Amino acid sequence: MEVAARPKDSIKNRIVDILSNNAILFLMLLLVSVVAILYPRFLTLANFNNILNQISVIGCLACGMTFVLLIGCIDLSVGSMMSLIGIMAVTVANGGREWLAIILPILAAGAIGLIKGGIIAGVNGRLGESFITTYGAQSVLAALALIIQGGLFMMVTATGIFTRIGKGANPAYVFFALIVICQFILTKTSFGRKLLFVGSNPKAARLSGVNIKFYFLMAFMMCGLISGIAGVLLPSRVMSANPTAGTNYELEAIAACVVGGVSMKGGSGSFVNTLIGVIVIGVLSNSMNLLGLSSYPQMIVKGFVIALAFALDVVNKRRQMQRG
Amino acid sequence: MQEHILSMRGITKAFGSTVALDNVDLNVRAGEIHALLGENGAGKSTLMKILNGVYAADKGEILINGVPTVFRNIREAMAGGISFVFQELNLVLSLSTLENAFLGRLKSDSRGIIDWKSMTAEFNGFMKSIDFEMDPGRLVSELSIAEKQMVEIARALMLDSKIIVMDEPTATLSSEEIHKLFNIIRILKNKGITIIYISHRLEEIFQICDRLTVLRDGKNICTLDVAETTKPYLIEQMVGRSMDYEFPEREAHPIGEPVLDVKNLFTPGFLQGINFTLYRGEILGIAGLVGSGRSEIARAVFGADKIEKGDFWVDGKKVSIRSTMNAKALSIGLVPEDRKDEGSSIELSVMKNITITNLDKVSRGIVLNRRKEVREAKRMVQELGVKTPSIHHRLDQLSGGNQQKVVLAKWLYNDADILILDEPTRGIDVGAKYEIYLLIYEMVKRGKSVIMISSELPEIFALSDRIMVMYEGCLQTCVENHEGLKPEDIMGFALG
Ligand SMILES: Nc1ncnc2c1ncn2[C@@H]1O[C@H](COP(=O)(O)OP(=O)(O)OP(=O)(O)O)[C@@H](O)[C@H]1O
Ligand SMILES: [Mg+2]
Repeated sequence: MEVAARPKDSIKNRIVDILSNNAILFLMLLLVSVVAILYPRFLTLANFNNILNQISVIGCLACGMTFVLLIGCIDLSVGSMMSLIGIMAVTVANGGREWLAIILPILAAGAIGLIKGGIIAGVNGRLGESFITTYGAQSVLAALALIIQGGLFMMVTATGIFTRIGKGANPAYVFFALIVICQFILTKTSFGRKLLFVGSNPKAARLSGVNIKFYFLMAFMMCGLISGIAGVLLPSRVMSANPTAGTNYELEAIAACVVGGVSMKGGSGSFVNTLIGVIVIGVLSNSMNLLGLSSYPQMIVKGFVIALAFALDVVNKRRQMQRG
Repeated sequence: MQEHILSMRGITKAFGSTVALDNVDLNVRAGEIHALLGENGAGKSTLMKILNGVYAADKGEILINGVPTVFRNIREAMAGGISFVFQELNLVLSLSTLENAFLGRLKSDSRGIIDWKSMTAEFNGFMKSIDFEMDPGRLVSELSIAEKQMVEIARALMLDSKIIVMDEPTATLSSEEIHKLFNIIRILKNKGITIIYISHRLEEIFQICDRLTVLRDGKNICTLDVAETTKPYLIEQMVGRSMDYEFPEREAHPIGEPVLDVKNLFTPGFLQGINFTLYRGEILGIAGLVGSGRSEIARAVFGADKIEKGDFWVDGKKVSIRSTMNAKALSIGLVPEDRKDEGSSIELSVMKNITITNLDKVSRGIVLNRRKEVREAKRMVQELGVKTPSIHHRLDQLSGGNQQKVVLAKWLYNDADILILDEPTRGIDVGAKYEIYLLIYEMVKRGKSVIMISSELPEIFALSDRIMVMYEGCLQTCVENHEGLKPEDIMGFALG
């Protein structure tokens, strides 16, 4: 097993390596510096809190999404699920049973996740099948939310615990706690290891005696549960629910994961990637808000950043391949 | 001096801290069949991947017909008249056999419409010329590893290249297919085509090659005429020490009670009522041609494929094996024949690939014990002599033979009572094979039982206590492997 020492790598090569491997972080740093110079307000504690508030709910969703991406699937229904869960939570909370209003919707979301996972496991599906299945689920859930709520806003009239969980820094705590717990599950438990292996090569996982259907189920259930948490936090924070509250959130969540470096092919990435992606997207949005960009140009910029993250990933892989 | 069609000079290539090639020269004469030999990880595949532009060399130059040439990718190499049969089969699983055979050069008629008819005709014509039957419409993901290998070969041979590089084309083939392949190689040679041939089966070198170059640890050792050398000398050049025997001496080991009984096993459209018994401490060899149903038995016993009917008894108890989980719970393990597709996850680390078969062994409850896992993985890597910079390197950074050792390691680590090995030494060099045979002996001496499927008859003969021969989904015979048994006896059954 002897290995000869490698001839000195050129400094230029090494710098290019460091730059290209962390390009997204460097770009963000650049952005932060520019915005900080233009707007000193950017680097204040108040704005920091502001960013945290903005990213926490999306962050939770991205966290759930990571499970599904890791196993090589996608879940397009978490946004509409969040809307439905919000309505459910507010309805129960306004009825006076506030603890139940927190727990029940989360469990319901987990159950919905199980159903989606069951269908996908049943057809031995991966990215393509999960795309179709969850796209279907998305329209079913969105329609349900609209039917139940009739397209109206719903104010939170409860006054107890339900109104407090989404306030202040609480969602941020929940988000960070989720990242820590999920990262632990992924890297330190046999459950996480098997999930990663299934995502990376389901055939080989099966031939290693792993119950792959179980892991597809579990990935979608975890995604469901965690989207349920996001679904409860949102109405508690904004004190209202409406049937389109979560529209397009799934895309933001997927974008955050991918920008952070979670692979859409499954089996590669971690919750640290997700954390980075969520922060990058959050800081980007915040900077653009401060710069006074309206929402459409913001969408264009975000789109470019996502495409850039993808392209960088491809270029890096190719460079690594060539140079080893 | 004869003209060199290809000259690679002073090629150096490092991957991180591993120097894969160190100032390597390769000179190939026009029209010859030139063998490239060396242990696992010697740098053979890397050298060929530098030729076709998959990797860029750190140093060195490539001359084709005396002209300095650099291909930046496979497409350019193909256009430059060089085609490749890759060791790790570069096929698109979701496409058909035909589409793969014409990958990157689909034919179209004058209107730009893809001309399936002429491609099918060309493909069928080619397959006929090598006397191999294959349905062009089948999805590659459904093919056996040997069939995949034939598609990969067909793709390279149909190109009409001047130089063809074959990286272990016979590793997954049995003697019949190899014979057919050699016929076509001889025809190509008569047409003046140059072939670079990589293989760990040294007999083949003496059958078809003209000259050879040996690499060891990324360095040139020698270049010789095949006619001037002998197998023991070659082995010495490759391994760096002399090896008296290719197989360890057979030792008598106690054979106990039946551990696995298979009765009346049928699989949809394949196995036709298979019956056999495996005893404790026994090595049961299964011989037969590719597609004769050897792997199907393995997969059925491991619960990997659906069976039509059939009963299994393990340790005298009737059991149902419906899934790989059932089989694993019964302490059955399977090393599958297709290491890339089914045996491993090439994007994950060596350690993660090894411990996946038994994570309980290295965890408390569900929490992994990192130190223990690292220790176990290191132990297996050492036991099998896997050449890797560390256990945290991705599997696709290892040479083909070393990947195969990892696939073996993962099931040896699990330490199942019944281990089924489907082509366990595929792509492994002579020295390492010897070590693996010792490990298999070690296992049966501890009371484990082994079913070994292999296309290499000498291997079956050297190791098995009994030999089963398959032909077209039927069990032809099952004989004691005694002194007087000859390979011809077995081949007769294998051919039906
Ligand atoms: N992409 C890569 N990244 C890092 N190291 C690599 C990579 N490819 C090959 N290596 C290393 O280079 C060395 C030579 O590998 P190579 O695949 O050329 O061996 P080989 O002679 O073809 O062996 P085998 O007979 O097992 O196929 C090995 O030590 C291997 O680990
Ligand atoms: Mg190789």
